Amino acid sequence: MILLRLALRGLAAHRLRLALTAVAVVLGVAFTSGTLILTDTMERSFTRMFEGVDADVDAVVRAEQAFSQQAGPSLGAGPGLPADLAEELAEPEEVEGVYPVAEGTAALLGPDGEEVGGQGPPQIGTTWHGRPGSGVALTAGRGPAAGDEFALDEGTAADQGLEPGDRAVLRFPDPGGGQVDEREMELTGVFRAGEVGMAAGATVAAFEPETARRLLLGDPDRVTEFHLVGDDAKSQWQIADSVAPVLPLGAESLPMDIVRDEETGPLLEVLGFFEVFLLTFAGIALFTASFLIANTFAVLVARRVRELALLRAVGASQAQVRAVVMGEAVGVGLVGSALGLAAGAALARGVLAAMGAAGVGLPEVPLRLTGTSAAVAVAVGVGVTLAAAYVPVRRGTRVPPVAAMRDDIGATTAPVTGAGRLAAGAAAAVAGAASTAGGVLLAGGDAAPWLVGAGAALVLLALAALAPVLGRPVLRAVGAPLPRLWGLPGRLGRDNALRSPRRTAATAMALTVGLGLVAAIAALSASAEESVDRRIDEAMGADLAVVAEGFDRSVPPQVVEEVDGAPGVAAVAAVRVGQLEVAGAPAMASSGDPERLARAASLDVVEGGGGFSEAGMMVSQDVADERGWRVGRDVPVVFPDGTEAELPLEGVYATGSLVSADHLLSPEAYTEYFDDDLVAAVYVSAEPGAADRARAAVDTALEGAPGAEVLDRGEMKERNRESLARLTGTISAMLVLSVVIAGLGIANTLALSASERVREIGLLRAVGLSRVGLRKMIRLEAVVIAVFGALPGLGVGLLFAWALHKVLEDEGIVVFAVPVGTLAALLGASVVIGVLASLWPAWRASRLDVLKAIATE
Amino acid sequence: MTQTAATTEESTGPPAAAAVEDVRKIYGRGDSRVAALDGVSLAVPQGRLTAVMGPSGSGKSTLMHCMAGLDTVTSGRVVLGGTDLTGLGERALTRLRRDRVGFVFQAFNLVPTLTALENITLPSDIAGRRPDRDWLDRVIDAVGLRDRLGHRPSELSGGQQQRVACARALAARPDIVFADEPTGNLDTASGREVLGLLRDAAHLHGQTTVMVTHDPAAASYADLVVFLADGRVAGRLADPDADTILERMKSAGSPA
Repeated sequence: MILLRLALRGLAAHRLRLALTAVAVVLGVAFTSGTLILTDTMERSFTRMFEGVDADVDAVVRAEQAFSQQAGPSLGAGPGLPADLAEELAEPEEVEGVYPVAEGTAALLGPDGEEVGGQGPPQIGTTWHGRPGSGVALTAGRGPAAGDEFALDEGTAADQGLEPGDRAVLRFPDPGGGQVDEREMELTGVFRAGEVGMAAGATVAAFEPETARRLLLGDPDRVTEFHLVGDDAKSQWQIADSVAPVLPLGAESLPMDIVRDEETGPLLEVLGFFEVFLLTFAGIALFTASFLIANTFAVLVARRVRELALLRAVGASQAQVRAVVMGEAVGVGLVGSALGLAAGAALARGVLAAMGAAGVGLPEVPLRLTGTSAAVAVAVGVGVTLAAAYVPVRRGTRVPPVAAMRDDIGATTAPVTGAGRLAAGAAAAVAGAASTAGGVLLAGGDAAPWLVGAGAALVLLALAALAPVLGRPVLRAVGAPLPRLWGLPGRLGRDNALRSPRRTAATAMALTVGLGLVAAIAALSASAEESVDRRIDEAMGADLAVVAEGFDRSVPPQVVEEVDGAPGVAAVAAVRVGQLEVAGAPAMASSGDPERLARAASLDVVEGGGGFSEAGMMVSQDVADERGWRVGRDVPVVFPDGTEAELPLEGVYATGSLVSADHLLSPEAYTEYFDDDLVAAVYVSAEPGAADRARAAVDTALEGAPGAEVLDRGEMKERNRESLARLTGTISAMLVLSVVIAGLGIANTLALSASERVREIGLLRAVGLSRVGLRKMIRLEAVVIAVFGALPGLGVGLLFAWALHKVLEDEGIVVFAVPVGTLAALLGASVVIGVLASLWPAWRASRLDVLKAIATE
Repeated sequence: MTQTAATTEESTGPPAAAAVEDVRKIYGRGDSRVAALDGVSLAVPQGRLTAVMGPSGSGKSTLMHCMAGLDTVTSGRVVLGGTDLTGLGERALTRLRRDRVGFVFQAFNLVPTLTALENITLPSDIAGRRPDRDWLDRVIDAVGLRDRLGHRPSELSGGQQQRVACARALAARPDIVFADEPTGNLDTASGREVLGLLRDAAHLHGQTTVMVTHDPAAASYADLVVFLADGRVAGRLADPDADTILERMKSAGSPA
């Protein structure tokens, strides 16, 4: 009881000193809980989005899919089923309704002639049934009944200001890869799908069944699938099974729940990755915060030596004294976690709102805070606080009770470096170096990136452990110019930074972690950039490349024919893509003419070399080595429609060309086995001196082909640079919080030091140091700490990036580039962080009453 | 001033509440070797106020720390209420301090975050004991702080703080109270109050108390004064007054 009371009183008494510590916990927990709340809410949003729609459907009859299609461009509408199957499906008594559904892409064009929603969100075209119970309800007008009528989802209609009776243009890409179809149609109705509506940005247009089949599938006699509504007394499985006898070969009947899981599964998986990605950075932020927490408690116990010794003298055991201070840590953790949880909820709401504003929002559902998330947030906040406080508290509470009576003992501090710390630091350094070296030597292996990551973490830990010892010379060097530049304040600032090496080091190390990771990302990104530049220079033999805009698009196939033979164009090489299963493993395959690709994209066939003689395939050197395949054997392949084939292996090509897939199908095989015609890229070589004319010809061909664009080498590099910059920017933004916490740590240390040195500050002021001088002194101390933290961070970051470059050499990062400008900017940023962190502590110290300061015991 | 106690010879007086036998306390080694205590033997009479006097560096504080189980001795024996402290572990020493010893220090006697009352009951709270309410009331009345019990130390004067410290030491009814320069930081009037309290505790309630001081006026409240110089006992004086103490100090100060 008394221990709890002491802890609570201690918390209240030191609330100002603990405030920054609590803020650090709040930030870390907010990041963590914000991530959990965000992903939970998004998950609910996804689930709810699907929940209401087709609520009455019990089973789905569709063409059998050999394997699920997830990655890469959506590969067309698939083979579908004959529309007249509906009559047979209606026969079993369990089935009460059969609804043929044709689904595809239908893009609504705005008044400006551009597609609504652009390249991002899906533009869905589907079949209107308008049956009650489907979860799709009209909110205005009526359902489409004629060939030139359509209905539109509520959100899009409101967005575009469309009302029933209005006319609008819709664009239908031919699923077979043919000419795009555009037509003006009349909007007859507006509907809401499901309970919560659709994801913002997605457009859903619905058509009368026959029109849907014609426009979306290009074939009035086929449908995508059938929805079966059955007897309520029967289970979904019973209804699905009831139609089994009438199913044609290649069709399957599945309960709706299974189909729904198939639809949501990949989304939820992506969400899972997103969560892990964010939590990683939350973890880094909390790790950074732990330095700040440790420092605060070290200072707190040091300042309270006499109080703690008094407790010991009147009979408290060491464990009881420790319990009191750890109790305060629990308090800080709890308060920080609670506030962090609230901040996390606000953060999640903010992110969702921002997503909505950016046009990629999800249907609005209430924030979802699960008990698990709350428990995790609190456990993380309290756990990190306790773990970080434990060592300094343990050290600090080992006071002899005599200290209560002696002035001298309170002043003695623990030795800067125990043998244990040195040994642990050295061990971590050796292990880190070994792990990194191991990763570099095993480059290409699955374990390599993990080894390098673990190595970097160990090296950072070693730095943290050894910094108090090894840091002295570095601190001296960093601080060396200060006395000359700023005179006495400079000298005092430098000396103050050197005074408590352990504290300075712990403060600086927090910055080391954040800046180190930013530096690593910057260096890696610069390396990737130069590597890709070089690859484009070396491998792109063609002058122009036509590529799809966005991942789910492809280049309209007619572009290939139009460009081929156009004035100024010397040669055209098209790369088509498809998904298949090779020898039991899912794979992406490219397809094209090896000879043309050799010139346009540096495809280098090292074995075989005679080109394709029939419907055959080639594989990359990597696959050939891994599988032990030689030219001449047959490779078992399964195509999306379930067709199995044995394709002769007619060549092996080296890696390093622009054709990145590991499998290359002959054009004959592609035409034979794929229903769709998906062109990923078209490489165009100009005739000598006719680059402009060739470009003009390509531009003309693309005019009628939305969704594709043409790039020359420079533009390709630029495009690549932009996407890398976006990635680097995202990751750096995630690390900003760690750097902010490190800055708070510097402010915290300065404030604590100033409160410890009240007398000294008073004395300095008494003998004539001005307020300005005093502030300068504290500011310079902050800068020394910040630079001291930044330098090893940049070093470790570069080392880490270099090791990763070695590991990823086979993946194409062949150049190691040092982004000197970025590194210099980071160093400059650390100075700014130091100055900013010093503002408040310096201001406070300069406000001290000189007389009171000297009189303070 | 000191006409109260009966005249007793040490040898025939009440039984010893604590005793040290040939205690040495050595700090450092080699050239920096310092003997803070150099063969001290001493018996503390039961139910009396004993003062240990000596100039700075005489070893009086060290002696008290060793007797109270706050510090260990290099050689010799320390016995407190029949228990030999030498050889006791940290855990046992903590229990001993908690259950059988009370302290009054020169300064920083109180936990700043606790009220006066909470500070007084701190030892029994730590031990998880219920304080004896009647006794606690009497102690509080004796120190005259009933109206200040809810105040924090920072809201009390130095004398009041020191009286709270005395109350804390007495409230637990320890075998022995150690007071280290209890008046060192106080003005004369406050000092007198505190000393009166300690003497009354001994005489009215039989509370054995050992007080370390270098102030003859403070020592004059004691029943017995033990003089310490250079780590050795330099003399004893029963029922002293300030003048006899001063006299003895002068003679003790000169080479023997």
